[in-house]
Amino acid sequence: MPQPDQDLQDLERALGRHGIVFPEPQVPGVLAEFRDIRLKMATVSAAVKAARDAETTGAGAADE
Amino acid sequence: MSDVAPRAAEAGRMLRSGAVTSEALTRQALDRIAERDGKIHAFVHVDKDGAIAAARQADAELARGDDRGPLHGLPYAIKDIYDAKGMPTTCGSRLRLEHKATEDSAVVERFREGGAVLLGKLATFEFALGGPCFDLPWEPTRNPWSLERIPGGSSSGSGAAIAAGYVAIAPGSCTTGSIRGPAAWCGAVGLKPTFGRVSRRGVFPLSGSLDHCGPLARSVHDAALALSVMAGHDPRDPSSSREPVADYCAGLDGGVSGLRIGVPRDLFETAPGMSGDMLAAIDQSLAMLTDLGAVVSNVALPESGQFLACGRVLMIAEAFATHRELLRTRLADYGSIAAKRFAVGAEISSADYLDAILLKELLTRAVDDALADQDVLITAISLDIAPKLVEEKSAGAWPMQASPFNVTGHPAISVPTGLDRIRMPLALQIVGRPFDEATILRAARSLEAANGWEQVALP
Repeated sequence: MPQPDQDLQDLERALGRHGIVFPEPQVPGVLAEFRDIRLKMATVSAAVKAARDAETTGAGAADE
Repeated sequence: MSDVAPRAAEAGRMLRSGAVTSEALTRQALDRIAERDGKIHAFVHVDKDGAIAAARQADAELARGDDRGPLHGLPYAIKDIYDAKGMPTTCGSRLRLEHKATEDSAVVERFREGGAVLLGKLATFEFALGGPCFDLPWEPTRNPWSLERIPGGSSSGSGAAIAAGYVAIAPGSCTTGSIRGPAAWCGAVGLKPTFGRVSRRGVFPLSGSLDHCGPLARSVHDAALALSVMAGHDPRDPSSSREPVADYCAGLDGGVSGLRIGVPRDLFETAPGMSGDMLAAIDQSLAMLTDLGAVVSNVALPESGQFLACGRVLMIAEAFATHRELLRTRLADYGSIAAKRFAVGAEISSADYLDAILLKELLTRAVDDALADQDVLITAISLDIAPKLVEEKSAGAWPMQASPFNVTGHPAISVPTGLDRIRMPLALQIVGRPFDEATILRAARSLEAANGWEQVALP
């Protein structure tokens, strides 16, 4: 039996918190948009983490 | 066919010499709109009676020597997310079909005080994001250079109105490229000023940290004239800057001798979708500017994906905050593109949003650093010519690199470089230091004069 798509479950949970329900035919388009924004969020998160790591390394070196 | 609207600078001379009246220019524009716009769909609302009345008033004032400035008597039109008293501000949405503005936006107020003649409202993607869309009450706007292609967006009508020869100036708004994108694809000049330079009061928000107002115009001089009217502090807009306004026209023809131009080549040269014609246009333009005395060197910027992601997360999070209640209660009234784009903002947490704010600061610092030893940067704006209008292929898939400077707030201008082999406009982007619009206008003017764009006839 196929597993329900995890992204779809996450999307429904996120929209459900705000009472937003899309008609079934529109769901695939919303899901594609959802996956895209998650990729963008991951890119932002990785860039910020890299900057924080660089800062921490620099500060540590200075403290030593 | 009615004549093409003259450039604003030329119209100003003609009006003051008595060679033409504002009413004649206005009627000419209205005739051209009536003749052509059934196929282009740049306008969503034309105020014929109001425009003729304003033109007659301008003629009377000019006749008695009461000159209100460089745009006095000039017909213009504005994107339909700016309020203009007595007109609808639909934002391209079914949700606002019944709206009527009770006050002017700050920009319309400044144009009105300056005696300009408002012809009407221009098409926008729904709420400046969702388009081109086929399930809205309006036809998607077409590109006058090729009716099977898009004009870009979200200031679709502004770009198309200039390329169609209706007007010389058409203010747009820009969150991740909606001024420079349509300008690039329509052969217009598009100026996104520094964040805070032009008031956003009375303009429907998409993303408070990224939204900018600025002109699309027929020429660099016209963009400078428009900015000179639009720019300035507005105490009723909390994001409005108190930085003094420069004279944007005074140094326009000062040339580029000694101008230091940094080129972030890694940003665009190998970007997916970069066309050979566009790359050649940029390199030819750099060669022209070098011949004119500019000093060109390569600079490094963070990878384009970081700018794109940062802009997208900020924009969608902030847009969701504006739209979440209507998404819950009136989802069916949104067009399909806007609805899905706004709704996924529900996934963005406060921590994700704050990360994007921090990345915005880091990226802004990187661009500031790149400009420390350069007067301007030159980079791509569009990576290819305007794509064909295809249902369900919307802005997210477009070859455009405008968003970096919305994220950082630096002033940036799109300027035409010529036509490709199927006669579609090519363009590049010039970026400056904060509040140094005068220098990017001067560089753009030098390029426009050197590449012969002024002699290219509109379609």
